[in-house]
Amino acid sequence: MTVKAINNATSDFELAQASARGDMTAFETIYERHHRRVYSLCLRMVANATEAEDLTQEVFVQLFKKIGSFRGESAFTTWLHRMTVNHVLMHFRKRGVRLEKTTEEGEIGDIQDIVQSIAERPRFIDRIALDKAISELPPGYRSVFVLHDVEGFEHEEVADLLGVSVGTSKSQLHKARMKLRNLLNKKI
Amino acid sequence: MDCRAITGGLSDYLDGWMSADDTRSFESHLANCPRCRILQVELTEMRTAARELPLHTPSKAMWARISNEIEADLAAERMPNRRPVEAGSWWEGLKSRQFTFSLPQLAGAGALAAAVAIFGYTSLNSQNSGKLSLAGAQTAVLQGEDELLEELQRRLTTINARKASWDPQYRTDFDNQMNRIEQSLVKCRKKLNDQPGDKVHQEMVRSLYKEKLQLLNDIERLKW
Repeated sequence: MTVKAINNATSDFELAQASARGDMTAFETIYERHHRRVYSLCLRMVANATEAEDLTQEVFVQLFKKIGSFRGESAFTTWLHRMTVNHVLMHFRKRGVRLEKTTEEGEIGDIQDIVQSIAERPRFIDRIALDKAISELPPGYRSVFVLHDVEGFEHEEVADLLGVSVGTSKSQLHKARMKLRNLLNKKI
Repeated sequence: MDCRAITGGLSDYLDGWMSADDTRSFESHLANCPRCRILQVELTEMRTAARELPLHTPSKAMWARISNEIEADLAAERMPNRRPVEAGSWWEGLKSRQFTFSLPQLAGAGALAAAVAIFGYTSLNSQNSGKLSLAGAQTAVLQGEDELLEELQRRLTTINARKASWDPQYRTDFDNQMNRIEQSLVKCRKKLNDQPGDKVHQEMVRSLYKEKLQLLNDIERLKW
């Protein structure tokens, strides 16, 4: 594939094949298409811009090495996102970050806390405020929320990625949502 | 079903994990409890908003860092007959250095390069040693580049004079490292000469100068 042959209609699979043959222009196009999604995912999971930049760099270097193994059986985006998530989780393990201890029932807290300030709740969710609130979640809750609610992974996939039970994944997601709700209401 | 049960089971309800019987009880409670209904609306809105969060953009130098690292890896793979060195040794760390810089490092590199350039310029002027012959001298595109090149050349000359006394393997590894950086520099400089305003390649050239400086610093610190 030549440089001129690459355009918006060139599929990710074609670009991946060209990249696997060492075509850096094709790989740069893949980077241009996906770097914001990858960086945003890293940033939301680690809640630190410098770490997210380093992780994004590592993911794309790893992607270049492994891109030849992409066979087009799934969407390239799905494949890349799973690689990104695994890389971030590996980073967590190296750093010793652990999921918050939880039971499947969770600890929801007093009902009065939950409904407090409900009358002043926003009429719509400010996405920037939500993004900020996500960064304030404990790492375990944050991972589950980002994977399930932001990235759209199913509980079985989240549980598989994080090495927890489906029940724990559900429980942590619920606690993350309730905590986020409280964080958002505090910001009003 | 009471409010506590609703609060605890709301995510299961929203995500469709609840049994049909429980769903009926749940909805019956919601219909009669404004507080729980508000909570349900809030979490529903949050789930929707989470799918529509804005994307973030990393720094513009990101691609330069990635392509630098990939090209360095490829160059290292092409390098023949590398002798295995004891894992974890300081030399291993030194020669396995890759072009991977975080933003603070890049900022630090910029400051270091500027400091060296100023120091080099001052000291060269005071010593009237501007007649140094620079191998591969080129037209400066980056600010202070000529002075930086002179400084690098001066330090390299000092190190080259001592190299004969080094362990032959260290000497080879050092030369390979320098050649690797030099090759990348030549490539980047060529692109920069074609397009002097290309910020990405400017950043790559700065990173490579920083890498070169760091390698010389390490060697000087070892007092070989």
